[in-house]
Amino acid sequence: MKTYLLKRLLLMIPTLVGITFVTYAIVRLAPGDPIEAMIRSQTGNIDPKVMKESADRMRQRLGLIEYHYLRDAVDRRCGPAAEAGAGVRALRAGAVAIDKLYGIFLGYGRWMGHMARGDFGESIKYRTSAGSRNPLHLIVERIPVTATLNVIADALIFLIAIPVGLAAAQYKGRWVDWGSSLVLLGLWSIPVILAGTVLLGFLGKGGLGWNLFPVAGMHTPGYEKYGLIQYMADLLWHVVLPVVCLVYGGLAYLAKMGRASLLENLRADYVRTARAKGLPERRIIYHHALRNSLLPMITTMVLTLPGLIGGSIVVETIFSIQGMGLLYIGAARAYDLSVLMAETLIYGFLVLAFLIIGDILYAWADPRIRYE
Amino acid sequence: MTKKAAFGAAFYGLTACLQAVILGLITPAASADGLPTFTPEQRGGTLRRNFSAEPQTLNPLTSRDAYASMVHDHVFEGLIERDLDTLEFRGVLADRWEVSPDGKVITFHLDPRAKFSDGTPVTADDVLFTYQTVMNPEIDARALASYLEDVEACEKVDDRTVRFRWKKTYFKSLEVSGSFAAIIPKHVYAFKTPKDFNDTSQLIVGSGPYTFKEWKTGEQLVLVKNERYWRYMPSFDRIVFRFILEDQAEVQALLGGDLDDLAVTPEWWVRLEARPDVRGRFQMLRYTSPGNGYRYIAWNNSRPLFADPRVRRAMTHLVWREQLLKYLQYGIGTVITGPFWVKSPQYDRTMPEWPFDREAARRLLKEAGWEDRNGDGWLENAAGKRFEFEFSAVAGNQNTRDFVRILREEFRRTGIEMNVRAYEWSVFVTKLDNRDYDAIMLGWTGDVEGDPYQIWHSSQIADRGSNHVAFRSAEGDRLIEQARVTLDPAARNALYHQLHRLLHQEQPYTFMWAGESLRLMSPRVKGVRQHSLGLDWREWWVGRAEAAREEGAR
Repeated sequence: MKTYLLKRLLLMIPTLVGITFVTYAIVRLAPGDPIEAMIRSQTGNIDPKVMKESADRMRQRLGLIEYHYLRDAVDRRCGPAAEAGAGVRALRAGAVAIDKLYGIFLGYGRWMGHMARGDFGESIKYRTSAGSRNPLHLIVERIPVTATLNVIADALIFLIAIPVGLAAAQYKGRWVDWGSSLVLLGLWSIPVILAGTVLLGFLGKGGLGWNLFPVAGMHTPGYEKYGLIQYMADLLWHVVLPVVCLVYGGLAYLAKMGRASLLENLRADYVRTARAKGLPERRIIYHHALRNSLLPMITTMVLTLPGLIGGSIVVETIFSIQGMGLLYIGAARAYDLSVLMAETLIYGFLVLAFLIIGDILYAWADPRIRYE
Repeated sequence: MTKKAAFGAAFYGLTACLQAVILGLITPAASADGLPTFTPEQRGGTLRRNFSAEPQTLNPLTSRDAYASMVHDHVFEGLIERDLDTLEFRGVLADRWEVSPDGKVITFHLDPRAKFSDGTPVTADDVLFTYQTVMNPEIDARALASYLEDVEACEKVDDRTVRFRWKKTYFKSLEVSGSFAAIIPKHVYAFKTPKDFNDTSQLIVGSGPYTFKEWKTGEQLVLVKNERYWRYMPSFDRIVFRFILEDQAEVQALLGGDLDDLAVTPEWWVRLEARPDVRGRFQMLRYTSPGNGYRYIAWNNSRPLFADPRVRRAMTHLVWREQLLKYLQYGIGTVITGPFWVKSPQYDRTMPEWPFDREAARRLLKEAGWEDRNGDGWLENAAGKRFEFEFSAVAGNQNTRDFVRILREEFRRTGIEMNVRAYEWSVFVTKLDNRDYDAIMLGWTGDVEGDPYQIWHSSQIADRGSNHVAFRSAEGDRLIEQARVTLDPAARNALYHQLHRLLHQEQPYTFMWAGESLRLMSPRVKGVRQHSLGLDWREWWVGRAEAAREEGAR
């Protein structure tokens, strides 16, 4: 067990390097010139000289320096590209590609160097309420927002889905079974963007239906003066619609899993034995089969934990909630490499860590499982 | 979304759009003398506005988005501003100024009452500091600095007098010198290294009527009354900017009473206008301002296919702009014939539009050598080459997709094959820079008084300048250069009318339409008036009773 764990922990390192390198390379290989596109979309029409200066400065700051060693060497040897023949053009294209790869490796190496010193760099787009541009601070500021939503949503998913799934298995083929299947699969197939918009339009303030819930954010402005109870009430009032959006689509999966798991156990030999020795059905299900069928749920539950800080882009956009999802998509759009890399690293680490924890818990709960 | 946001929303909701120069951070607004006199009953309360994205920084010189400049509009002041009705310049921090006859020397006299929100008077040193900071190559304000390229020097004459000396005569020298940036206090912003200044994102101290209070990510940005304001104080105690990101939520927040003022898209405008409960209760304002800009189709003049003006004009004859405007923009906008702001004297309103006319288009194409020579329904030239081109679109926009579909159908009827390809914005911009396209559709935002040099002068074709359509005309260059040094407005506008005519004949673009601003306002905001240049928040009020209601709600 110990060697197994050690192996898994050591394996995390190359995995994380792989994840972050791929992320880095993808951002660097994005087509077009995202830096110049970004500068232009902010400033409008701009003098090309100024554009080049600003773009170079931004590349410096982001550590996105482009190298042209080989390309320049080709140009020196074979004259300017405009008058070159096909062979030289191909050579030049190859040189550009190698230069680009070199830039990526060098840039990634530099990022690793900074990481080793605990330096996450700084965001070009985002700042915390306190004004910090450190990606770590940005993430820490947003975790409570996203986690609040996800803790409530995940708790509801488990509380609703598992009992429904177990009931469906117990009454297999009866109306509870196919009725719950129909409803949950139906819900699962509604796009969040549609549900969110409809909920907002009919239940939100200023909409076409009842003015029940606020349309944006997690708090009423000026909530700082609230007492604890009023604060909690205000928070719950704000999260109702986003939580509904997060919950309804997640029910089907878990319910189906619970159903399949219980059915499998009900067909197992030990259940037949229990029936044969005359145990009441109630006791067979609740005491024997149910406990065993909850085992796979452990892994599922543990694996949802890192997801608690992974926000939902659609829900956060519709309800104007500044969580992790918006941070990630905004950073991706703005080419905000330091934030993207920090998020990838942290999220990647959490997923890998919880995978290991899930395995340990599984072995602990089920003595039949041994890791070697 | 930034400045382009309002623009993109008004047009196709493009996630990004090119814009023309907008001089100065401070948008023009009425001066104190134009403002109504508020009684104590009319004062107090909060003006609640919305940003559909958070500004990246509030730095007065390096920020680039429209949201930051909306905040600055309340906190900072320039030397001069434009009157919203007469469009003439009026003093703000400068109470008077002199311009030398050749327009090259401009002397501003600062108002002796002017002071910053911390009580220190505004002096020539502050103006000089602002100028030098903008011009510092290490400061991220290169776009602002590029407007000042022809300024030889900015000098302090005495504590209350500053002088700008220009290298050459330029008709916009007064405007540029007087509104190139918000004047910032030297004693607050003085920096050791340029990086310190570039990193300053929340320090905003100015001479305007409001001061910065807080900016909470995901919640709101709050400005409060500057108790020491030296001029006529607007009515509100606080200005709050909420951060509601989604347009439906935004509209509902306004209808539900959480916002006072909102810009909406044409689609929302039409939908809300159809609701009697909204139309009767809320204020719906619709107006044109230079910031709305215009939309165009560019025919790459350097491609052999579109090198012939007759072909370009034929294309314009095939674009049914009135119908497109009606179906795609709900008729919100004005069909245009040239690049200037429709309401400015630079624009020649007598210019007749090229009508939608298939026959005229066929005739012009035949003159240019394009006709159906083999009876296959497509046009060919003498060499047998088919009339075929690529229309490059920005990916991911329904409105553009509809537009392109209609256009392609129309061209096909005349025997022109238009292939459509969609590109990501960053790829699209690169294609534009390399002039690697046949035809595209884009927009420019305008200026009260524009200088066509940047977009139409042949010097701007090379080196990725803004003349991406590669329009080259000796006559055009001459008109543009001459207009730049003509200080008399009537003579200058006559030159611009000639340029307008030239562009109309040459049709390097098919000029489509100018957009409109659409605003939805809460009934509780009183005193909203429409000016030639739009609205002025400094005239608005909600009054003491509303202020008390706000307190109660909190």
